[in-house]
Parts: sequence; C-alpha cells; structure tokens
Amino acid sequence: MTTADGASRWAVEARGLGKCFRRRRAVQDLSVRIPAGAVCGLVGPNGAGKSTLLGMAARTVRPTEGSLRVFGSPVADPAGLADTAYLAQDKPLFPYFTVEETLRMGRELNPRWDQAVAERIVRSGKLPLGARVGSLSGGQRSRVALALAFGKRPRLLLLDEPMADLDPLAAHELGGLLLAEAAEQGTTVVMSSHRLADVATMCDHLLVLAGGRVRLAGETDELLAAHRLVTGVHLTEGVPAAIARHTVVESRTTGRQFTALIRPRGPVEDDWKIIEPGLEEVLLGYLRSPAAPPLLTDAARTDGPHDPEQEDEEVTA
Amino acid sequence: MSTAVEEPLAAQTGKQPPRILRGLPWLVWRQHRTAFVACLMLTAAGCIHMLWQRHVTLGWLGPARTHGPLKLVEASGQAYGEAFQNGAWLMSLVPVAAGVFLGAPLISGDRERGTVQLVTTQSVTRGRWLAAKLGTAVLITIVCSAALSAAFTSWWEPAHDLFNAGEWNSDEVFFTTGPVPVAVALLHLAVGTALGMAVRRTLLAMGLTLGFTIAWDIVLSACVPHGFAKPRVLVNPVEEGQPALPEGAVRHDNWTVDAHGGLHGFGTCFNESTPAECRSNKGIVAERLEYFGYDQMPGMQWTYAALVLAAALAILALTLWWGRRRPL
Repeated sequence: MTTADGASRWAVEARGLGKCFRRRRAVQDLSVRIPAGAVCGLVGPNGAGKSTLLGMAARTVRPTEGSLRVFGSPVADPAGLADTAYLAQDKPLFPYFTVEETLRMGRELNPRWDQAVAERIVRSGKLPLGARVGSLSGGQRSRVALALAFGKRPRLLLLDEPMADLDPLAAHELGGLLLAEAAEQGTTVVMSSHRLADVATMCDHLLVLAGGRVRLAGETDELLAAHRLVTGVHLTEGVPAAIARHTVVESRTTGRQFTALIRPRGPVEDDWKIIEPGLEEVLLGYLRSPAAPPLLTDAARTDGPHDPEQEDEEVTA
Repeated sequence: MSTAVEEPLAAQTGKQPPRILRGLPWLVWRQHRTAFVACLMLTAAGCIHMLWQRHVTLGWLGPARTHGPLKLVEASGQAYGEAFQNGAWLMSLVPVAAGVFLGAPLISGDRERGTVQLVTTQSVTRGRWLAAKLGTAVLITIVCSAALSAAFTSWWEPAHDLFNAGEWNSDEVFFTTGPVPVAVALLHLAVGTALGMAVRRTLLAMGLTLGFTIAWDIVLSACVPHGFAKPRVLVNPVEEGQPALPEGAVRHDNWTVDAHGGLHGFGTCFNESTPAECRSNKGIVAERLEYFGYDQMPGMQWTYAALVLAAALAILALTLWWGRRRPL
C-alpha cells in the first residue's frame, strides 16, 4: 500500500464506509480508493452522498461505520490536519473579516501557509484586500475561500462544488489554476461538480455515487475504454440476445433504432455499430440507471484486482 | 489603496501593524473583538463611576460619623442610598452580560454561520479551537467582573453598616461584592456557552441564557446562603428586652427561651394583654438573638463563590469535552 519512500499510494481509502444521519443513510458500504496525485471528479445526483463523503474526508462529518484513511492514516488522526484542505459547499467565511484578515487567518492557523499563492488568487480576481468578506458577491467569496484552501498547501484538496457560483470566465481561470497548482505541487484533488464539462476537462479520475453507493470509480480513460455504445436496428421487444450477453448499463429503443451502453465481455457479435462513448454518455447512462452493476477499476478497488466474487466485473479493456 | 493590487508583498506586509497575538488567540480576539472591547470599556466606565462614588461617600462619611448615628442614617438613606442601589443594580447585570452577550454567541454564532467548519478544517483541532475560545472568554469575564467587584466593594466597604441599612446578607450586597460576582459571572458564561453549543441558533441561545439568568435570580432570592456559616447567639434576661445587634452584624433569628432551655417563637406572648403574666405562665425567662457577625461575611462569600465556581468549571469542562468529541 505504500511506495518506497513510505508515503501511501492512496490519498483516500475507504473500506465499508457508511454514514447514517438520524433517519437517512447518506453513504453506505463504500469501499473505494483514490490514488495520490489524482484529480478526481465526484459526480452524482443530488443527495447521492458526495458532500457527506467529502465531509468525512475533511473531518467535519464522523463516519458511523467502516474505515476511512487519508494518506494511509486513519482520518481521525489529528496529525493529518495540515494535509487536507476543504472547501465546503456553502463556503463559510467570517463576514466581518476583510479579505486580508481572512488570509491572515490562514497564515495563523496553518504551518505550511503560502501567502504568495493565496494573494495571487485573490488579486487575479481584482479583489481589494481591504474589502469586507460580507460585502463581496457569491463568486468573489468563492474565490477567497479557494485562496484559503490553496494557501494551505494541502496534499489533498477537497472541493465541494467549487465552481458553482463563479462566472464562466472565473471558473475557467480558477480551473486552470487548480490544475496548474495540483500538477506543480503534486496535490491530490477531489472535487464534486454537477458540470460534466468541467469534470471531463479537468479530471483524470472519476468517482460516481448514487444513493450513497459507488457506481463508477477509477481512471477516466480506463472507465471509458471499458464501455461501448452499440446502435443498430432491432425489431423485437427487449434487449437482443447478442447484447444481453454483455453487461448492459442502459438501453433504449427509439422506433426501430436500438441504443445500448454496455460493458463488453468479449467481442460483440452480429452487425452492430460500435463506438467508444464519451464521458457524458457514460456518466448520464449510470446516473439514469441505478440498477446497473457498479464498475471499479483496479486502481479504485480496495479488495485487490483478483477478488473471485467480482471477477465478472473486472475491466477487460 | 489603488496601487495595492500591483504592490509587492514585502511593501504590504511592512505596513501591517505588528503581530502581537498569533494563531488561535488572534483569531478569537479578531472574531469577538467588538464584544470584548465593549466589555472592557463598559468595565472601565463602571469602575471610574464607582471609584468616584467611593470618593463622594468618603467625603460625607467622615463628617457624618462625628454627628452620631441618627444623622448618619439620614444622610446615607436620603442622599446617597439611591446611588448605591443603582450601583448594586448595575452589578447585578454583570452575570447577564457575561451569559447572554459573551457566552451565548461564542459558539452558536460559528455554528449558525458554518464557520466551525472553516476553522476546524484549517490545521487546528476542534478541541484546541474550543479551548482558545473558552479561555479567552473566561479571561475577559474574570478581568471585567473582578475589576467591577473590586471597585464596588471599595465603595461599599467604608459605609457597610449604612448602605442597604447594613444588611450585607441581602441580594444587593452579598452577590455584588467580594469574590461572588466573579464566580456568578463565570457560571453564567459557562451556561451561555453550553446552551450556544447545544442549540446552534444565536438568538435562541441568548434567549435561553436570559431565561437561565431569570431563573437563577428567582432561586437565589429565595435561598440566600445562610447555611454557609454558623450563626452566633446572644441571650438576654427577658426583663432587659431583646439583645442589641452587634455593630455590622445582620439578624438571623429571634427566639424566646424558657428556664429549661426550650425555644419558643419570637412572637410568643407578644400580643397578650398582660405579656409578663403570659411569659411567667410559659416559663419564658430570656430573649435569644441569632446573628451573623460582619467578620463572618468573607467566609460565607468565599464558600458560596467556591461552590458556584466549581459548578461553572464543571459546565465549561463538559462543554469542552462534548465539543471535542463531536465531529472529530
């Protein structure tokens, strides 16, 4: 589990992780891992457990079952506090602090604080350092909150809907900044987003949640390569036998046109038009079909690549 | 500040005020500085007022003492008694301020705005942050209440036999002088903080704390701590009437006593047409006075303050423990 220099290969490693709020199970039996250095997109419908998972990794939500490790140490270990930065969905800040004082808070409370990075992010948004945070717009506040998260120089950056209230220009700029900083510092990024285009351009790993469970996890390329979009003419009801042999994620019939998103097991027989799907098609397919069996690549699985029970789910790409 | 955007970092930091406070203490001070500064300034104003009143009191006290007791009571009762009563009323607000305005918003404000998450996802644990918050608030409360109590006590002490008719066991004196205001203010701070931790909404926490201060007042007025010292006793033969109260003492109880040492109520034979006959019929031979001497006051106050302080510390420790063991 660790590399030669003793550091864990896995930035986040969950085993049987669950969180039960008073009546609702937000996350259940979640076993997945995210390798260090990944930029991982966290996707799922509202209420899928994305924020709960990020909150558990950020130590603001206490798991009710299972284990969660961050860089190999249990998440409850206070030694890891400086390693993780967290941007909550509502981006809480002290409204009476000025921007400068907000950054000073980062400097006072974080041992690895990087004032230059934080100021650069604030300045590129043309925010006056003396302005009160409460007087800023939602997007400007997001920028200050991001500056605080970046300035911490974390090894793991947890972002909950970071781009939600930024204008397209700012979102583009901060997205670029995020990737540049992550590449330069080797920061692992886990970001939840509803904007699939952002996920497609920024993330090299994916974690798709629905109903508190993993639907898809692993490297984006491998996940895409494991799927095929098949189309063809089909006259009878239901899924054709040649397609049903494979794992069908989603199928649709429009008139005589049959379309299916499948995970092929071996070559697809008969006369079908086969293409590799795009990220949006795969994501939407899984989000629309809660019953489809989940897919975790070797990198994302916690039970090792050769678990006999899940042999049929193994990636064959 | 129009050039600030292009200014190099070094020039900017050179202009900043020196960092006196660092880390969590800086954050706690910056976040609550309005409340803290208001407390300190009100305390300073209150102390100046009370020290001035002390000066005024000493001014009339000297000449008045030479003119005998009657003049003295008149002077204190009419001219200066009201100022003292107002001072006592202000002192009774100290715990309310500590609980409602300092304690209740301390943590509930952060919970309401979500800034608990902001602070505890920096590189500090929840426990350290809570300890810094509670510690600073406790320090401010101790400084303010101790200064006010010292000033008020120094005003009251020279005329302790006159102010409030010399009844130092009443709410107006017992709870406003010596160590008692500090302990009671800390208790209210602790209760306010704990309620703020429990309910998340600042206004609700303040309302609940106010409810506690009212409940506390009602309970207190009913049971002033007479049990903390043993009353002293004076006995007179019945012919000499009731024993006179020693100087500075407060009355606890009066009895009549028969020859066998049995106690009868103070009013026994009081309303009879022939009290002497009634007394001889019942065998009453003496009048008994139970009182607390002035020198017993500090002991009673310190005992009371110690008990209240223990309760305050227990609540603070519980708050800290409870806050630490919630989300990580």
